[in-house]
Amino acid sequence: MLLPMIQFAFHPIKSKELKGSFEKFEMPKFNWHSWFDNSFQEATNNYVENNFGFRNDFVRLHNQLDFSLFNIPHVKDVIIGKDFYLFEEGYIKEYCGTNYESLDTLKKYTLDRYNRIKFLQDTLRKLGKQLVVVIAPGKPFYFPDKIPDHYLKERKSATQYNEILNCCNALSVNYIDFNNWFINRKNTIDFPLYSKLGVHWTDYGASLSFDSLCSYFEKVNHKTFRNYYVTYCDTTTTFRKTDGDAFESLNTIWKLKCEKLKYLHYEKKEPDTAWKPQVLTVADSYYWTMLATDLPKKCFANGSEFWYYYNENWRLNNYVISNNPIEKQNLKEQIQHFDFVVLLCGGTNYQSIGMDFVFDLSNEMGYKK
Amino acid sequence: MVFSSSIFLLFFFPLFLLLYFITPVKYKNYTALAGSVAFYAWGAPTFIFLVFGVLLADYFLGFKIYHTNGFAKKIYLLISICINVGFLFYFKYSNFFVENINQVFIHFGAKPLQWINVALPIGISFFVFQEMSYTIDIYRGEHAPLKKFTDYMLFIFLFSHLIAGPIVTYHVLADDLVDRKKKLTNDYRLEGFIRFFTGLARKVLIANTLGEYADSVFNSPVLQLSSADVWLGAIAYTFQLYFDFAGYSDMAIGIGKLLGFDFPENFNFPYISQSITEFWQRWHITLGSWMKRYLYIPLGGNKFSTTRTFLNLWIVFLISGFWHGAAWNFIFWGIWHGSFIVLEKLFFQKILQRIPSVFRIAYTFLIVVLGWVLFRANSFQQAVLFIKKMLSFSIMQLQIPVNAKFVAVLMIAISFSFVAVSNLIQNKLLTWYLLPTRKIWLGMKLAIAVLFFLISVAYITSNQFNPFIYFRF
Repeated sequence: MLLPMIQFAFHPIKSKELKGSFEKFEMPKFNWHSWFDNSFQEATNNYVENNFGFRNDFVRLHNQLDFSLFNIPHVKDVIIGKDFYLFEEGYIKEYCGTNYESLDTLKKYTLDRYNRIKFLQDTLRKLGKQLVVVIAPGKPFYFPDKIPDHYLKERKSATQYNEILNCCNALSVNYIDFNNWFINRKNTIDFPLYSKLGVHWTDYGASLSFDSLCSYFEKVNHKTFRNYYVTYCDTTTTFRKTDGDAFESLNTIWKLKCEKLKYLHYEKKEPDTAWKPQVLTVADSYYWTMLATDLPKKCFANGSEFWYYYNENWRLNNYVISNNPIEKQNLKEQIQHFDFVVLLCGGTNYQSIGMDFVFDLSNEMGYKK
Repeated sequence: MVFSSSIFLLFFFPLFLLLYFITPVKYKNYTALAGSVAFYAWGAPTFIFLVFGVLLADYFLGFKIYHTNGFAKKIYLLISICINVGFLFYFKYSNFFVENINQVFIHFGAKPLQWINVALPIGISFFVFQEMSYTIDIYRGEHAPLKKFTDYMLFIFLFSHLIAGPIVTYHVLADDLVDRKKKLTNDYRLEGFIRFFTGLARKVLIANTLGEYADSVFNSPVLQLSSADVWLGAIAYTFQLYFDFAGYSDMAIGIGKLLGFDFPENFNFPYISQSITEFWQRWHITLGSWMKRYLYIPLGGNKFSTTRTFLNLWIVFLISGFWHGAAWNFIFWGIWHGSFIVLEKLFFQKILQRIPSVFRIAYTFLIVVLGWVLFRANSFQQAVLFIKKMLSFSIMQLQIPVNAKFVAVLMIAISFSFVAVSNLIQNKLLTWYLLPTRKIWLGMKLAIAVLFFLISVAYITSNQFNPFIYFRF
């Protein structure tokens, strides 16, 4: 019983950090007022609950027991599908068309967003820039047979994904549909583009998708800039990078083996290409997987930026990405530095591709409904 | 600070035990007192001075009662009872009475009373009863008052039973407070650890899991629930309450043993009872004992007429119900049990004797479960709606889903609750669990208990830990 206290005080043993996004608690400062109104005790309790010695190991023990004995995952919104395929519930709801209240509102909202995207596309083209919507795939579309049956009972034909395609086609918005591309290639490609234990596309899937995206840029700009080649590839049943992100967030003791996954290794060609595009990507966590392949660092110019959920700005400089403050004013001026604007989202965020960036920039550029 | 929290289990308790074990015997009471005062001050810093004042008054009155005779003795006792009951009444029941009086006033168009709600000191229901047992036992000549005020403070404040019992009366603990050297042994300490860890597991692993489901049922509008939901919710609560309360009692008894005290048992497989009368001999035994010693017998017990006996029983159960909480559903819960006790004494016990024991157990269990609905419901009105739904046996499909964990834990709870239905098994279990055993069995018990402890801490700390995969804005 004394060991956790000793560990807390002296940290003799290093404990592995827990994965996932969660609130952290600080030790509160004592004063008599906070003591007598019990706020100090409450805050101390929270701090101790989350920081005592070996706490992370106890969390893993709890999670392992619940997962192994009862199939209960302790991650928000993650559900266990058939054959232990992990899904985020939001993606399943997107696939089943159960994540919106009324179809009319969905159509209206989507149309408004894509009218603005069309406006931006046309306006930016006049400025010599290209805008493209990238529909990242959704795992339930790829593994519909692994979705628990009770979700499928409520499935509707109208989904946000369908509405986006309808709008893009009707308004001639430039888009790349990796969702459809993944589904079509599922039975022909050599290794999975989606893993059993991850939420996002695999590193392999992201690599192929990124290559296709660059191919699109080259075609549209009539300039080649891809300057990498595959040196070797290896396969493994132990997931790497974000390929097991859903499972890692379960924070269990033992790692599950996944299906065989392929990892490509790239080298930069020398000499470097004369021109590289400067790209602004406004995206959700799907883009992190692309970044993890290192290909954007090799292919894009310094100053390329990733606006994560339009809230964090990750800027590329000399093959290193760093966090910077995001400026939501003077977007029109900021856009001048980029050759391409990519609006990318995955299955649970289809309804907000481009996030509020679309509204802010279109308003600045004089969009009228 | 609750026993099933990380701060208690991994900081306060080990530190306290370490200090207590290294303190020389003649100073151990001071260490225990300091720890207990710190424990109380952590949870209720504003009340500690007030409680201290009441303790001082009772201690002084205890001496006065011991050293006087005749009418003065009675007066001092009366003053002590008035202080304690007044203290309890003001802090626990004044809000309830003012609220009800105001409802009557409003109904008749009168201006309601202006009142600021009074906060409830932690453990008040338990320590007031213990304080009263002190002065009453002295009055009855059963024991002399404690010579040291610090020993008296320890009797009341000892953190092991301060929050949730068992209710330890003065005559039970008086000798141990002064001299318990014979119980400061390693065997006692080991049994204490085993008891504490087992109690913790009962509360955390069984009660908390069942409680999640019970809460989801009782916090849902009745209209959205099926009969099956309400039945399952009531049954889940039935076992949640038992394992929570019995688990807490186990922890208290375990802490007592670690410190060299022998606290009385509080539960004895209550759900195998074959009548409500028997139920109250197995459930919250220390409350029943206190009520019998200090209320039922002074009222006359069963010494007078049958009508008077039944009235006394009714009063005891009415007060028992009210003691549990200041709300109408607790009062009606007390009346519910009191009524069945009276019915059994009147004629029903004779009928019960004629039916097989399995039906007697089923009858008792049903009455108890329905009583718990009264106890748990958020209001009396809700309780009535719930019971109506239960007895209607309309939709028998679950609207609130259950998972494998809940089902497994419920099965374990039911098994452990009813396993002692056989006298043979009951005796074996009690012997193995409660009494000191051979070293090899002790070692095995300790190993299991330590495992329970580790898993319980894992469940306590992870209860609120439910991260997102990625941060979302």
